[in-house]
Amino acid sequence: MLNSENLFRLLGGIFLILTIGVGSIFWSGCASYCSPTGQSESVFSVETTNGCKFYSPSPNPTRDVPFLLRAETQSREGITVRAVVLSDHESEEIFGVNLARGGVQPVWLRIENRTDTPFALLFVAMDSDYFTSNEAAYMNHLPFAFSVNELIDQYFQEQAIDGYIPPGGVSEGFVYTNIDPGIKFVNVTLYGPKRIESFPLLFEVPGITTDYQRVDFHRLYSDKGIVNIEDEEELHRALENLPCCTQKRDGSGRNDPLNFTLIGDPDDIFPALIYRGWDVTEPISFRSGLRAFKSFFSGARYRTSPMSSLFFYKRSQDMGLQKARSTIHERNHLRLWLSPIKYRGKDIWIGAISRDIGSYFTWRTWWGTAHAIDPDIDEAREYLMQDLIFSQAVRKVGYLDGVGIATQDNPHRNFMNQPYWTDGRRVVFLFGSEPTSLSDLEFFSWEWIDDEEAVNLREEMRKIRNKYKE
Amino acid sequence: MIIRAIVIIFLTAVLGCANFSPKPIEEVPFKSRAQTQSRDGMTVSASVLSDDESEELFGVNLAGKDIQPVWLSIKNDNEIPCLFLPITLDPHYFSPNEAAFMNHYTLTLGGSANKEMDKHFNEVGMHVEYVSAGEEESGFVFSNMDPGIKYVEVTLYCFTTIEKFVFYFEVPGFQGDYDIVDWQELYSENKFIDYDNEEKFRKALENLPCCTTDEEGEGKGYPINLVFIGDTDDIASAFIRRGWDVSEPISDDWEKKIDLSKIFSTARYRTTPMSREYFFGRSQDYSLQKTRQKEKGKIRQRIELRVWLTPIKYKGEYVWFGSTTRDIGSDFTRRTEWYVAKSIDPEVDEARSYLTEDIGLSNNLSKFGYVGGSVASSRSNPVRNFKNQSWWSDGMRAVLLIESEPTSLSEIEILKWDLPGDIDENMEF
Repeated sequence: MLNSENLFRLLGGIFLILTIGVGSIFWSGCASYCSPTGQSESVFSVETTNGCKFYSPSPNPTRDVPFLLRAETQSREGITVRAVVLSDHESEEIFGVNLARGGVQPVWLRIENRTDTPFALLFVAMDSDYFTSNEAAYMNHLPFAFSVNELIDQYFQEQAIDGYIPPGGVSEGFVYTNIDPGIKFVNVTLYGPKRIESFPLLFEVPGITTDYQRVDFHRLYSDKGIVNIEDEEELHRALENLPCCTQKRDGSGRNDPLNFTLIGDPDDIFPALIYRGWDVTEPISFRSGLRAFKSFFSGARYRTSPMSSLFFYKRSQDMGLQKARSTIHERNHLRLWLSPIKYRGKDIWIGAISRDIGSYFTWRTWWGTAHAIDPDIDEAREYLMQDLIFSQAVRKVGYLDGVGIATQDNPHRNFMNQPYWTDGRRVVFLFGSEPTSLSDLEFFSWEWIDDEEAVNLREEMRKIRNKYKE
Repeated sequence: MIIRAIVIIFLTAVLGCANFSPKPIEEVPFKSRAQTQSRDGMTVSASVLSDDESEELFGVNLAGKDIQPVWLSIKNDNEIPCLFLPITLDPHYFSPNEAAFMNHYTLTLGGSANKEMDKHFNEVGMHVEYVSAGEEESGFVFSNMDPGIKYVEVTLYCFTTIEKFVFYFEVPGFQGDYDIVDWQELYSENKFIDYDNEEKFRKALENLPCCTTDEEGEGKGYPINLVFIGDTDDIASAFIRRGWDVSEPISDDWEKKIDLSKIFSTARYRTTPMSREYFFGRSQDYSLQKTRQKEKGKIRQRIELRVWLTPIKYKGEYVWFGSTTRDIGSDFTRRTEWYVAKSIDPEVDEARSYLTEDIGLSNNLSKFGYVGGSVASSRSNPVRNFKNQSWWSDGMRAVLLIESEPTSLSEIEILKWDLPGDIDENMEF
């Protein structure tokens, strides 16, 4: 009888047979483990009878592979931190195995301690799920090849950084972190006696092309075309008078709403977004398309999957950013256009944000499916509002009209004929270069989320502020 | 895909048109479990739904999609309005429309059931809520599934102040391994030895056996490499906040051991039972684990921690022993029925330092230090345990004093006991 117990046994049996079968195939196909670099001088290479080299990593990574060219350095109070994030290709070249397949991205660090106290590197603060050297090595073990596996273990161990940096000492080596595609945020935190030193670093990881690399930002507008606004009220008017929505390529029509604005220097805006977990986007190409197609059907996560083009200023988005949840169908994504307006010398980016909640079948695309957006489109805007105020990079927030109200009973429709409704507000973020805590956050005295509350709130805020002044 | 589509079409044809019929909120008694906290004029109540309750309330199997609704009620008795920010409760929360869309019926006649579902989810769902002065807002936040114990953080941004309310919920229907321990029976109250003297306490810790044993108390298993001092709740909350999960008890029942839902759900996998290790002649009192699995079906690595209550007290606080190891994959052996056992990171000190850093970042660690007592061994001369796994260690135990009062990382006090590895003992830390 096929009761549940027998079923489990059967499944277990099938599993065993499969594992043994697949294992022996791997075993016979030893050639697949030959190192891509094939450096014969490596002390780790093992010659076998048929001449197949099993494992030959780079004997001196910093000399053999020129990744140090991209190193970033920060110095403070006697401590110097130098770091590089390896690309998938570089890590394969150095370690002789495909680390990226297992989700490992080595980060090279050199920490120099010129103080008279010891420091310890906090691995958990850098990546709370970091891999130990034995773990990263274990994922790349070869079945039944014990002596080679020992060499792999040993090599990974030798290349790992020692987290303890004695006074006057230097520590150098790799930390095995989880893969971040596109841009990686590396936070080097050092723990010393009654003292914490933090070195935040941002790296563009080679290996994928991103959509903003295609844009020549200096050529977008001529110097004469740029308008600089100094006055807050004037800014309010300028932003309110922008078109409500993204458009067709020729500038007509109404697609998804332009529901937020970022004001600030690129160095203040983008690190904050990366820090909050937003990923960059690949342009639509054959490679990215194939990967998106695959993950569309398998439901896998693809953090930098391409986005469709929406049009504003008669061009597609200058940059797309996304925050994926567990599958490719569920993500928050935003598109940004650099505008020809500046506020007190700072760039203004116009953006459209929406939340993908799944996929559905449609005749409107040739491949027959499309992503469904959350019709309550303000939901995504409010997500961004929360996300950015917790980044501490935003100094001032405000709301203004400009999108136009659409109700649930009488929704707007975008070009995909998907309905959406909104309170018609556009949220504006002014970024500062100094961190702003939540309790110091300021507000533009424009509209508020809820009209009835707006007047009351402003009164209250004024009272509170006066109280503090007294 | 095609098979699934055929099955769905077939089922729809047989069962006819899907019917969306959630139960009214009053008929499901989840509010009786609600916890309430009040501070500075703000009152927050919260309750986590069980899988069955959420299916009754929302008419669809939300747990099957790893959605766990959290009910909140926020009352504002102040004169200033407050914003409720769901992002701190779960940075990847689902919007009401999203939670509904994920559960839409695939084929319904006219789609009215799906429309009703959207409407229902929107009515009871919570967004960024604006809680005006004197008002009360309540509803559900659709969060990602946390098995075992759920940590709920409610942040209210009241423009000049930020109020944080923290709750811990045992998810209804969950049984942890700590639930089947008879805590009263472990030690009678007068059996505890209370140490007030730091030196004597240190000696006592050093003199305890090095490692866990097998069931008969023989052999060496894993090293006892941690000592916790503190209240049960404070220790548990520090771990839960850093993303650790409690574990289900290991069962001798064959069928329960391989529950299919655990294999296919990412969240449920997090509380998988842990194998028994023995110390004080008994298996661990409770087990904690931190799973590392970024995607469904990908790498299943975890850090394990087994904890025993000791008959020792330090200045009136309970003292716990822990053994932590890092699983780095599975290994073919013939020890278990499944021919698969976990492979541990042989450098066991890695797991110890991970845990120390992790708890340090929870802001609940007030003191830490190291004490000897475990076996010192090296890569060339490792300990081979009775499971035939080898490991090496510097032989130190980390001692962690955990308190409910927050301590920032730079204020943690370091006990001037032993120091591990190559750290100079004369160093002024």
